[in-house]
Amino acid sequence: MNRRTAARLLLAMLLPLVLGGCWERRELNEMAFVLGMGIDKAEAGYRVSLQVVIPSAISSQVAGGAGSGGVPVVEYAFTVPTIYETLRKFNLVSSRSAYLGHIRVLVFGEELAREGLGETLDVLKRSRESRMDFYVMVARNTSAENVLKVLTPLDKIPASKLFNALDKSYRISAKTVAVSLDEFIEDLLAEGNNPVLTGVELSGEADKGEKKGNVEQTTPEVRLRYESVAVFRKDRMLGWLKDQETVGYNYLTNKVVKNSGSVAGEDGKPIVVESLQTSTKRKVRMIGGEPHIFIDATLTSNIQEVFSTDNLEAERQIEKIERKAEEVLVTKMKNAYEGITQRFNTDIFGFGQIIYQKSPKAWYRLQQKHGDDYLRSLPVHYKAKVTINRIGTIDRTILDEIKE
Amino acid sequence: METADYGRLSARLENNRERLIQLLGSSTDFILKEIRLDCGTQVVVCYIDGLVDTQVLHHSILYSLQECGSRLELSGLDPDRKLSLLKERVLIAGDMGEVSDMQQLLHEMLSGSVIVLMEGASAGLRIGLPGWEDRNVSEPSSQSVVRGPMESFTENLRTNTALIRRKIKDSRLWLETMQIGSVTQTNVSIMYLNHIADVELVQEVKRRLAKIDTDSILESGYIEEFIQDTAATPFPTLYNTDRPDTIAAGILEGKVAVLVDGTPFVLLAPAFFVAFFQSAEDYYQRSDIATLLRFIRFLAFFITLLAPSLYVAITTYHQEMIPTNLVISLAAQRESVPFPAFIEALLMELTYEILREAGVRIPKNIGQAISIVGTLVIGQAAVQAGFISSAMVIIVSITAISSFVIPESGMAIAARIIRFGLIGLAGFMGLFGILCGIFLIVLHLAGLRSFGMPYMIPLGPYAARDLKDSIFRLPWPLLNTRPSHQHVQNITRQGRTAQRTGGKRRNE
Repeated sequence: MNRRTAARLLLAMLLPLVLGGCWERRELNEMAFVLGMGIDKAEAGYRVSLQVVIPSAISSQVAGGAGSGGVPVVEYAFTVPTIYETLRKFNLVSSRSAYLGHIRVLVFGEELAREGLGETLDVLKRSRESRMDFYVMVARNTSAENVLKVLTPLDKIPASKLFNALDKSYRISAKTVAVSLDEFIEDLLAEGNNPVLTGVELSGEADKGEKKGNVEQTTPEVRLRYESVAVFRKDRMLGWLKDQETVGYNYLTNKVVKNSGSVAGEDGKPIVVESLQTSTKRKVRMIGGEPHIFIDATLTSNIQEVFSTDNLEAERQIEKIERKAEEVLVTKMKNAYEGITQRFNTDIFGFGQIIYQKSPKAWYRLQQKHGDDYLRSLPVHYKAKVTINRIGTIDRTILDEIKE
Repeated sequence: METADYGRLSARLENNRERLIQLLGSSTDFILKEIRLDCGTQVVVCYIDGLVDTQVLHHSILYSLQECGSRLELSGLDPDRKLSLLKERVLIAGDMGEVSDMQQLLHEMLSGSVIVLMEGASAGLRIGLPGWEDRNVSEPSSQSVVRGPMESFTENLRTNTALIRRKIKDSRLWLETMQIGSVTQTNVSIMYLNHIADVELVQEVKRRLAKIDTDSILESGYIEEFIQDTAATPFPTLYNTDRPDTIAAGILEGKVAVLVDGTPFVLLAPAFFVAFFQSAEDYYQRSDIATLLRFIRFLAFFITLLAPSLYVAITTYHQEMIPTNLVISLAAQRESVPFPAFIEALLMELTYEILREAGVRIPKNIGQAISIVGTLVIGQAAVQAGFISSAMVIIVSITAISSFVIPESGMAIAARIIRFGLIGLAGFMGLFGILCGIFLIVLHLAGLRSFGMPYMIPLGPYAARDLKDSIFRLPWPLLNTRPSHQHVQNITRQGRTAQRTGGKRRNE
């Protein structure tokens, strides 16, 4: 083959590359960025709401733009037989096509969650656009549609507010759980594990929250806040956790980043201890052929606030507080485990899974013996180690001196 | 090459005289002076006014001929004998010789020689007295440094060779000169270190130079295009610079320098990809900062090559790759822009290229106009007019400024050309297109050669020992060998200098 033929062949091979040209090309100003998606139950099918950002209302300086006059987002809601139908219907009301690649939050209505979410997940997992790293939550005592209506003051985009607030709150308070869609589906499919989702609540009436006026006052009438955690058995929601149960759950599943709690001093008044570094080791040991769960939590803490008049200068006193804090922690975990097991009897801790990983045989035996009730008879051993590193810039409380 | 054969000189002075006037078309700068010596011999002194040093001419030739010539007893001697006596006893000059044919005579005269012809003699005398107005050695304009020599080559070939000789005082620094260009008869010299440079490389350079058949060489760019391995590449395969220190360093590495009379830009062959990212200053500064700067130059190369195309690809095909907040603000900026990102990028890059070209050509005293227009066209005004988005302004600016980081402009030019192709591919097929483009570029680079040696050396083919002075620049005491890939004759550059370890001083 001479060079000429080779060159022609190469050209012929390169040209088809061009055939795919411009496929899926979209300009930024032809797209509607969906930042929040809400799915509620409708009488027939689903009620899907999309929170779409209006870029020109967000950016501070846009040439010839409307400026910051209007609301930053617009919500579209459709009643559809399938979720995908939403995107088709969207174009009947909007000049731009919906883009799911930047979804920050997915909100499920409580009613839908209680009936089962399974059907709604497929389209999002299947889609090439969505990134699966957004957080999923359940609208508590309201609909997802209403949650996505509310305007928020600090973050102009409500969906971003929901995303960032959840990201912060689980790190700082341990009273929520931040679950992305990927993790949710993973928990759903895993053997011996069940998912949880944080609940989001409205304070006030949704209709007032959608007006711009809501963010034009120092105390917005309607706010979004995270409240409690929804417990699932597979894709069906069972109920809500109590605050302390959530904290205990987070300790048990090694999800705590920061958390604070108080222990009583000698005089019965509280001393607030904040954990800065937390790690929980979960182990399964076979004792007498039966799986036992061993929980070992290690905390490094600071003392943040003191009402008690204990002498914190003394090493001995600090050690006492450490021991008390350990007790409190163990009680927290124990109460959470027992409370959750008693009320819902669903393994959101993933204990089943670690037993399965340790010994699949033991897991099948456990299932045969107890069915889904295995949690009730599963022995769990708790251990906690609290180290107090710092007590702050003063040692004894100044309350003492004030009283004299 | 059109060879003009004008035949030998005639013995009759009158014939030669008429011949010369005829051949030079009675040019007014052709000076012909007749002198009659005491013995009655007719002598003609001719030269081109402006090309010879008139003062020396008057002093040591005209004066000598008239004064001293009269003291010699010449009468009765045969004219050829007279001429050689003149040469040996009368005329005071270093560069002197005989010319016997007309073509040689013309060439010598047009290169700044004074010709002395004598009635009856079969040959003439040529006395090299070149002297014309020259630019002084000044600061290099193309590759300035903070630390390092501040001299640059000039338009004078002799000055340039002297500048190199001043740096390398070794008898093995050899210089060969040839005339190229049938009309311009330009002096082209090659310089190399005989004991280092590869013999075959030197032969190859000479062979390629000898093959040039053209009427004119006005700048080293002509030579570069004639002797490069292939014209089918945007990448430069010969290095050019006006810095004597860079050329000296190249010669010391076994490269061959090609100097062309009439231009301060000297060529260096062979040239490899990494060499274009090295600045003379790298070797004068500490090695750590030199290495860091080299990394930055490579980074800047990729930015200038890819920034606009990546922007186009990502904003039109891969919006999920941009952080949410950024994508919203980009979308807001693009809200009122009428063109697709691809057209926008192309327009802005073109505008910048136009500005840049105008900036080079515009007369210095109205140069300020460029900066005013520039800030309007690529700036806030264009954004406010709704022509482009402000992100695009930033992209174009970073692209533009990055291209100036590359020390050798040839490589920056390559990036500028390829950039447009990549923007096209990005607008067409997104990141996939860019990847295809980069793939092709890498293939092309891997196949490129400079004087028969792989262009991408020492990266591919990999030469571990040459990495010490490629992307990295190790401290001088560690640069013990010359680049091995050039087949240099003598690889050892220096002995192992014991490096002081630690700061301890022994008190004994």
